[in-house]
Amino acid sequence: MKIYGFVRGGLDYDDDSAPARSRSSIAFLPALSVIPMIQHEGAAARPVVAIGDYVEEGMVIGRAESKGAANVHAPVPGRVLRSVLWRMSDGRTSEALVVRLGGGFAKLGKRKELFSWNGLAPSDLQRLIAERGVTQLENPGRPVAEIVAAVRAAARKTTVVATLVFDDPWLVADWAVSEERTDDIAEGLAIVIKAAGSAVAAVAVSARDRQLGARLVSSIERFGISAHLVTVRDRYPQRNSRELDYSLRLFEKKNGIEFGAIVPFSPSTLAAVYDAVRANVPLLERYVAVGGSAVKRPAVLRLRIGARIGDAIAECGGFLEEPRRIVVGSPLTGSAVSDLDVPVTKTTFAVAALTDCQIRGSVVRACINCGSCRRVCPVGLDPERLHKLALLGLYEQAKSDGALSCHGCGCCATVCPSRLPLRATIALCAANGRRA
Amino acid sequence: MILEKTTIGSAPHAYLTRTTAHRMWLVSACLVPPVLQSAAGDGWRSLSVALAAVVAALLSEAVLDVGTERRSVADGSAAATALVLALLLPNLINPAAAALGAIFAIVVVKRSFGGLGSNWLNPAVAGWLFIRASWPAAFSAALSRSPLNELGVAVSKGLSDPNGSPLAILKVAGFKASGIDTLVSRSLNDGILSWMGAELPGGYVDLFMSADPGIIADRGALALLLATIILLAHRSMRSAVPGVFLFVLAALVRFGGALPYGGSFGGGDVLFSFLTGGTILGAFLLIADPATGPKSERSVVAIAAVTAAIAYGLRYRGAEQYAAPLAAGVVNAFVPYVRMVESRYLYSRWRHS
Repeated sequence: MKIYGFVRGGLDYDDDSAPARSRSSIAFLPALSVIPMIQHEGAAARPVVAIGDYVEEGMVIGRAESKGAANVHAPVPGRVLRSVLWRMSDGRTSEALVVRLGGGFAKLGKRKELFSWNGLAPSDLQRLIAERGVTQLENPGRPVAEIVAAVRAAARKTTVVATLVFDDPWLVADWAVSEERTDDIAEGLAIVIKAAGSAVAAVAVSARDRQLGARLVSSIERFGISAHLVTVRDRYPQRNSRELDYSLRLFEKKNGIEFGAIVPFSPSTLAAVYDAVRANVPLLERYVAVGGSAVKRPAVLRLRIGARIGDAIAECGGFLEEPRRIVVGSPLTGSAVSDLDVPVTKTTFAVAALTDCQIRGSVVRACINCGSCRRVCPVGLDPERLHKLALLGLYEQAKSDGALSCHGCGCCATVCPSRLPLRATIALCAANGRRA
Repeated sequence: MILEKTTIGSAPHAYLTRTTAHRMWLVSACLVPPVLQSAAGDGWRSLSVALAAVVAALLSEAVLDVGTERRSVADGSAAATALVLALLLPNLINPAAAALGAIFAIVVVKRSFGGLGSNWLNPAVAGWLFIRASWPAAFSAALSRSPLNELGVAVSKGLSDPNGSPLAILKVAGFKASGIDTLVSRSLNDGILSWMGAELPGGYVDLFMSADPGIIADRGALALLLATIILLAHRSMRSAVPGVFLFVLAALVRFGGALPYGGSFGGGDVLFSFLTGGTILGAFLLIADPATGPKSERSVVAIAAVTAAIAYGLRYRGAEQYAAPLAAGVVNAFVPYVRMVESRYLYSRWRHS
């Protein structure tokens, strides 16, 4: 078995405080849901319900009206109490609807009705995916319908890749989806392939999860689609598009095949596509890894969109001690929040409550030229130099030293003993470099 | 619900390495036992030298922080610098000289260039060179009865050993193995070594716990070796650097290290070279110091090899007994050029892509 991977840098990242690999559990329904009209990096949806309206489970409450926007659905039935301006974990402010749980469920507890999609045209599949508000279930959270449309418009050979790559222990929710819904993911992939007008499928799987990948491949083949199984390294940031693309190109070269353009999808996203098209269920819930040293019983929960992260933590037994930092996403790249009322959104794959001991110090000190950042940079940049150029405002120089090539994996900052915000300063260099 | 103690900051929110301050204080803690080992045999004079250096360094750092928001003392680098400097000094030197050396290291070499990480020369090496240049007579006098000095005197008088063994020459010069050395050597020879058909000559055990005058690093060699194991286990240094340095030095010493003592090619005493002249300290704490090292792994390895070659040349082809620290200082001076070349050719290829 040949394992493909990027050649330079990276980290062996493990975290005992992340939930263990186990089956997910269904969380209690939130009494109050906060449903932002923007849940990813794109544009906001426009609310289509008024204060005081009763909304049914799965009903459209926010309509996408511009590029980058996605429909938003009521994750629970209930009454719209008010509209608030909500500061999201990524720092942006969005209008959000607060819904109090009440009334009967249209989807929950009902037998899943399955619909055949074989006879649907690609454009119909795309419309269905858009209507159900399916986005990538991790950052940047681009609407899947837009990705599919772009692939079809490009009219070139494209390979849709299911990324069963778990290079970060906080991706355990994605692992749980892959284990529990392998066949749904396979069908979701088949739907995307048909919608995108693509013929080729591949499954990129971490070396230690090869059996899971093989199961997915055989499930995909039920739909008459041949899929390549590509075993990749577990080293972070293998899942990043750049590193994944590099590994798949190596596979391509070694096996004499042609992938064309590569379009990766996470297992959670493909399962959401399945729900949208096959089961006619919009994106109402997602798997979230809830853990960290401050949490009593870390677990993978199935949470409704709009549920408060405080409720999710309470579901895991609450806090062992008050956390020093709460992170939405992976501790390596996620966003810090201080409010337990922050809602779960479409791109929330993890919530980590970290203690001082786990953070290991955040006081910024002077660079000691230790070179740790250079050793782990998968691109081969000199983050120390780029950081110093940023401090001097020499953005043009930073640009010529490769600042624009940084893809923000954060390896450099994660190993910096002086706790320099290398990722942020290089991003600043890149932003200024692009303007220059 | 807002949590009071929760902080906000940019990613990453958890780190995979220890902080700079943690590393510096760890280095400092690891360097105390060698000082104590040395001090236990000299009426605590080594301790007074180390204390003088540490107090002077911390005070200098604190004074320079007055009126600024910096709290450099807390990062532990001044304490670590002072302890490295103390280990390079003779145990019998006047503590005032150690204090002045530490002040020079911190005020002139470290802080005037911008503080931690900005110095082009290792501050401890600079402080050591400052003391040697400022009070050469006092420095030499403090080492006049040291085995290395006696060895130099004996060789200059024409004493030699057909096997090129410095220990054999020292024996002739009047240095007798201690009781512990005799006991341990005999036990090893009667036990493990007899099965292997080997024999440990007298004198080597004393090198690990020398009771003679000398630099504190040599007198506390056993504790210093244990300290390096702890530092390596905590990944507080690039393990490749001391590895390459010691490997290259061992090869060169084995090949030509017996010649100055009357031996032939291939008979050099590697263990003697490692355990004397501040070699261990130089390998693990001076040459491996990242602040004054190059950027890339290949340069790090190359610089370690070059430093070993210079150390060999200074000690076996020159008259410098404390060659490893001096070689580290010499190479330090060229590292900025190496870093400049690396930036231009290894990390700026993006200009052309």
